[in-house]
Amino acid sequence: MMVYLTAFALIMLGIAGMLFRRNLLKIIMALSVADSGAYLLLIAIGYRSGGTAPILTGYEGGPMVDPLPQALVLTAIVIGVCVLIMAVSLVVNVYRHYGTLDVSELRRLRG
Amino acid sequence: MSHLPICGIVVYLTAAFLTPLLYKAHRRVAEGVFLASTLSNPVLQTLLILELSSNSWKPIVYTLGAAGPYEWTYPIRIVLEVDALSAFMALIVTSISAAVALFSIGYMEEDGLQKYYTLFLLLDAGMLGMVLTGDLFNLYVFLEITSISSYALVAFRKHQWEAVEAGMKYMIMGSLASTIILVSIALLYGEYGTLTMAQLGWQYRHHPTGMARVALAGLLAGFLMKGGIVPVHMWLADAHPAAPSTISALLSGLVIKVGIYSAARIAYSVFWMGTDVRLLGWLVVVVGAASIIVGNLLAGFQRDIKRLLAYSSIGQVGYVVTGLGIALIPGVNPEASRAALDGALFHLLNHAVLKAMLFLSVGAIVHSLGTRDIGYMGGIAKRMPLTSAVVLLGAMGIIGAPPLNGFVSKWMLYEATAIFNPIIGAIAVLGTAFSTVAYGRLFYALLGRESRLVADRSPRDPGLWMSVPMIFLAAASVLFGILPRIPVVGLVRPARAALLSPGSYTSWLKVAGGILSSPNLPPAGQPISVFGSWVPAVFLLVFAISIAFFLLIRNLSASGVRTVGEGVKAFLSGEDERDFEALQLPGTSVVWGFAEAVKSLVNALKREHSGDLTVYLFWLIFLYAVLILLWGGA
Repeated sequence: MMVYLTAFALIMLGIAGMLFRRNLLKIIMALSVADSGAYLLLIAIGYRSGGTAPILTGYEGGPMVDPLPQALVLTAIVIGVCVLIMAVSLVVNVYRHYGTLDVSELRRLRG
Repeated sequence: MSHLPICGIVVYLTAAFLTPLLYKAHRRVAEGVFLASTLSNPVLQTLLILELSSNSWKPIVYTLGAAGPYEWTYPIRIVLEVDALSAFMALIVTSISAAVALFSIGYMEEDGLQKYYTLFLLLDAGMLGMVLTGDLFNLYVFLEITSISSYALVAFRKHQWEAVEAGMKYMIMGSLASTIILVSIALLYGEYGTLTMAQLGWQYRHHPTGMARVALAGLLAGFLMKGGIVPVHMWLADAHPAAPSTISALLSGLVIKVGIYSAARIAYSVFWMGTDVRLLGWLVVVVGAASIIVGNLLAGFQRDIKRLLAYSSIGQVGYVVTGLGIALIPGVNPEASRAALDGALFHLLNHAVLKAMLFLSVGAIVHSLGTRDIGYMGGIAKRMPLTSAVVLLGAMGIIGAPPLNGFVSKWMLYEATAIFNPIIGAIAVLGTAFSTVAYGRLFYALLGRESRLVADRSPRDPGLWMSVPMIFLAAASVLFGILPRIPVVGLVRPARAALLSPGSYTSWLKVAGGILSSPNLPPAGQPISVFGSWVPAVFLLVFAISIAFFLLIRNLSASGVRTVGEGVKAFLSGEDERDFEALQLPGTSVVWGFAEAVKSLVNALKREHSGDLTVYLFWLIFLYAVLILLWGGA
């Protein structure tokens, strides 16, 4: 239960950070925190208490943790890293053009 | 088992990673691979459609790897599930991108091409995967491939501040939506222990839970954001104009449609059978109608031609979403519900063709003039007759002028919305009025008096590489308008039937209970008035007669009338004759009366599009919260 709560707390924290921070880098960090919450949620869903690693060779009975969420999280982490790299490289370009990382300054496109 | 479903994706992905390597060898080789992969893919998808239709449109299920370790029929691996709707979408995605690919060979000459080819092909692979997959997490992976490559392509010209700002906003909003989607997928997996969409639908039918509804709210909020629906559309108007025009064509023509497709697939095939979706259907109709108004109205107040097209995309996708929402609501007149879905899917196809054509031809104009301001495009029709003809044809199609394809699908939607609810019907017609204002200005601008910039630059029609795709798309638009039965009977109706019978989507699951029957499925039978009272031949005749009439009047009128000199003094009340340059009416002033009438609404809407990313993010969370509160909790 604790893990689920932590996961949701992380997601909420991330979303709140994206909404209330003004610095672009902090927004991206908040996005990353929200993503981590989602990963933790997936892992928690696959966990069986007292379970062993899900390897079939030499299996001696007893519960095994669900291997699928682990595979999913691995994929999701890779995707998350791609997004993070893209976002940070865009931030570099934003700084080049605008000289600031404040999102409220990033308002030339409107209307 | 035929390997046809996976072939298209494999071709795109292989080519995506081959092109940068081959580019090192020679540019032409990379171009050849790029063209071969994009042009061969429509053929593959046509073969897939033929295979489907020869088997009476039964979904093809393709398992990646063995079906299961112990000969189970219980799906464990990732599956691709191709039904009529998926195949329909796959054909649209591959054909439009083939046309755009051909165009970009000539268009993108000056930019760094090796990165462009790879990103383009990755974008295609992602979209094709999204429409063909039958696995929810696989959908997420392909969604992210699509999204990441489109972020990169929007910010492709990173030396321009506009591209960087638009890309940044698009990326942050899109990533938050993706995170919401991922969390929802995790919730669904925790609830049902499977990721296969067909099986999720089956499970939800038998054990609907509150958590699954919360997950649906998240999935819908995420995919509606990817589809650019009001109130989470703000990124679209920034991102689509900032990208290179070929990419704008892909983004507006395909990427947002694929988002809508995913939302529809989840709402219909996974969740439709389990519960009463009346409230959800109404929510979708309301956001769709809001998109129609906001998108088409704001399109009329843009000076930037690509921004005009982007706003118009929001409005036109609003039509598609409204149609999809009407068919979700149980208890609607079944004929209206079928016509709404037919209209929505056909409009999706038509808008993809028209918007791709518009962005390509406008791109050619922008490329040769170096500006996107409509005010400077005066009289370009004389210098670039072919391109301007394509632009104006596309504009007429989007407005919904007969005999073009946009008219047929809009007509179906007018009928369906009017039967469904007169207010929504009125909004649908009003949206057309707004888009007439927006595109009417294009007619004045392009056909009007020659501007100085046009005279200085003396632009020319583009070469063969760029003309062929434009002509191809224009021909498709005219063909679908005159002979709408070909695409509607051949593609749209089977796709609609696939959406309306979620039972067939899950029928391949060999689980206890057998084939599912849907509780709110409209009874079978052909709708009697899908095309309404529209007979293409009559309209063509009227069209021909009016042109003949116009030519007759023109020939009868006296030639050689002096427009300047003593004779005109009588009309000037003693004023001096004005300089013609000073009298030139800018394209934006043509609709002055209309603009004054809706000024307060437009100003209020423009205030909302403040450019502040935080506000945009709040809207996304707001939509998510509303969906959860209204539907998830009930």
